[in-house]
Amino acid sequence: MTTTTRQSPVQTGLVPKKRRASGFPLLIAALAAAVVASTWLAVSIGAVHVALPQAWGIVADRLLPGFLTDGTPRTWTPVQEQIVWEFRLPRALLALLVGAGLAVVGAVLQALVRNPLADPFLLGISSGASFGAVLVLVLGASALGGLSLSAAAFAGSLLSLALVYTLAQRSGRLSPSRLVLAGVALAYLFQAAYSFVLQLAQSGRAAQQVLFWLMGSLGGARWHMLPLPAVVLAAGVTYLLLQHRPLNALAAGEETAVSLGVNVHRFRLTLFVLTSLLVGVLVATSGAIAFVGLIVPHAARLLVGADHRRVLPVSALLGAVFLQLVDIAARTVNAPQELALSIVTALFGVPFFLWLLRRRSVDRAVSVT
Amino acid sequence: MRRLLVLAVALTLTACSPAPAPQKAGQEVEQALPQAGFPVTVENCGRELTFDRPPAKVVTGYHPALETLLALGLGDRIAGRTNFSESPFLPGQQEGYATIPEISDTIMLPQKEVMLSQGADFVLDNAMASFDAAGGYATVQELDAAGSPVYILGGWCSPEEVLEFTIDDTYADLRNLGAIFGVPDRADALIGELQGRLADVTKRVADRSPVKVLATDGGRGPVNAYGGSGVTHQMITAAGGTNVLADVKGDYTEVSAEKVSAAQPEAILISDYATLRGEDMPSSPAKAAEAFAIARNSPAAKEQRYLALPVAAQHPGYRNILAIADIARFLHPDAFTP
Repeated sequence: MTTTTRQSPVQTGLVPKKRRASGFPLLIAALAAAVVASTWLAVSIGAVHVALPQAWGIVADRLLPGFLTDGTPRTWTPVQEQIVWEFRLPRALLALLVGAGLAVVGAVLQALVRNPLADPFLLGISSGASFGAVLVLVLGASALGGLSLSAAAFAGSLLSLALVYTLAQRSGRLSPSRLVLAGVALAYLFQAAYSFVLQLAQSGRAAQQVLFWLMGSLGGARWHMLPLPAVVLAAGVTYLLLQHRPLNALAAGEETAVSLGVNVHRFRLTLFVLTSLLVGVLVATSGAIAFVGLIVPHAARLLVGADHRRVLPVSALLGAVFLQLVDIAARTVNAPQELALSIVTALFGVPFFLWLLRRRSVDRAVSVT
Repeated sequence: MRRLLVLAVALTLTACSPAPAPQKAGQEVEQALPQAGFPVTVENCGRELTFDRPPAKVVTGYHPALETLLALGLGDRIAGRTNFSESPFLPGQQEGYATIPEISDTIMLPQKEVMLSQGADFVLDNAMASFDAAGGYATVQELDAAGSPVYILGGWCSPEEVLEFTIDDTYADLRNLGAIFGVPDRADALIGELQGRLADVTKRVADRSPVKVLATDGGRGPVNAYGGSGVTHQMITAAGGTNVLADVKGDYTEVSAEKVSAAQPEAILISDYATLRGEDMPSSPAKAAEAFAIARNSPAAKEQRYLALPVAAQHPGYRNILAIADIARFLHPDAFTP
């Protein structure tokens, strides 16, 4: 829980502090550069060796079709082109989208339920998505009327969203504590449901696939999977950035928010639906990737304070870079076999976060305001 | 009543250190006479199993265990079996299967209490999944204590041992089962026949250049595929192929899409099975389509060349040697035309 519940607008970051104003554009620029650099690295390395000039020739040739017509020979094979253009690049871009999305959702949820332990999976959404995915993986697509894995995962997250909302609202009002309790309870229910399906199946193979999916993987990334998360994420982040003032007010406490003229109940509902949809879309494409949404927002707050106008973009960029690096590790450490992402997010993220925690004030690290 | 008694004995014994197998009423009359060659002791998974008489009340786990006993003409010793509906039966075995009581409607053994109450004097399976206490199953130790010694085909007793499997382990299993059941002649005959089949395959594919093979269970990335350790890899090699994932340590594992794309297989083996009471898993054509999409530039994809291989053959049991002939016929059809 937050360390103090009543703070002045200045303390809660409602009014930006001058001290950090100059550093912020620099930080954003540095993070953007890190996004580009990590993506460059992601496209350059993998289980199969593709030399750098070839890897980038392939990308340049595709992005700028006229680029190589002046006699430059295409020195790569169709296989290398397929590897770079169809596997690595969409995967790298999806890593950015998912990392950014999970981090932003985590930051918003921590403000919404005013709980530093909140993460995208707290409200039961990912368990619902996992239930849908397990049904398809174990019973086959025919069992759910031909739904694809990601469609089933999304349907599961919507079902979970509807249930959590029904349970948590009272005459249209959402209270944070009911939201958390309903979400956690439903998460257990869905976990029980998919464990049951898994045990019914009793197939080691299905179990192995399910386990991999439950722990997150970007291995199936293809171009056609990118537009939906990209659009939803862009729309969501834009809306949230426009709403950074009520977000700050909400994080500071219901009384502060009301006194500042925020329609708290309506705003909570909007945030809940928005974050649930985002998580549903992300989990449907990548499985349940732990840790990013929990830790990245705290890291962002350590860097720029609690003002959501800064926390949201920094979380998004930090999350994107973090997941990109994690995915590079996941597919190269044990190549050509791949590690599940949740293993690597924790292995890399926890030491980093503990280091951050020791460097700065613990109070600020665990406070969402 | 007898079931309850056996169960009670079993449960009591699990609490103590390993104890000698309790005598079972009803079998004494029939088998009181000492049989030549007994007691027999065999080693399996680092444990010594001793039999004073041939088992007469056997429970089998995953289907290749049952297949192996049927091939040895021991169907009448089997008192209970699991369900098998994931792929077709071996020729002539469905009748024998149908006469044996089904004690589990999945490929796994029944839960602990049901399993112990079978009062089996021998349990044959080919992996440890059905003996996992966390899954609610009776453990090997519990069954041992209840007088139901467990034999694991192929020595698949740990993930490491799965990787160490060789085709010769199949012969060793047959020899051991022949000894345990007092039918060494039948075991030798079957071994001879299987070795003959394998020698025929070896002779036919000997002069042909190996075909590059990808063995996969589908997946859009990472791909579920078979690496360079274990039974599937050896089946590919014996059938005149080379496993394109030979450098991947592992049996059934996940391999990145780009590795599969770069592997350039000339032919693809698809693990063929349906699970959960016959409901279709991704079908073999669908899994082949996934593999062809990823290995799009490979010769295998251009010719759409794949073989649906029953996954039961990718487990310990004599079926893996039969499957080697099927794979060889698929990889080198010319070698089998007269």
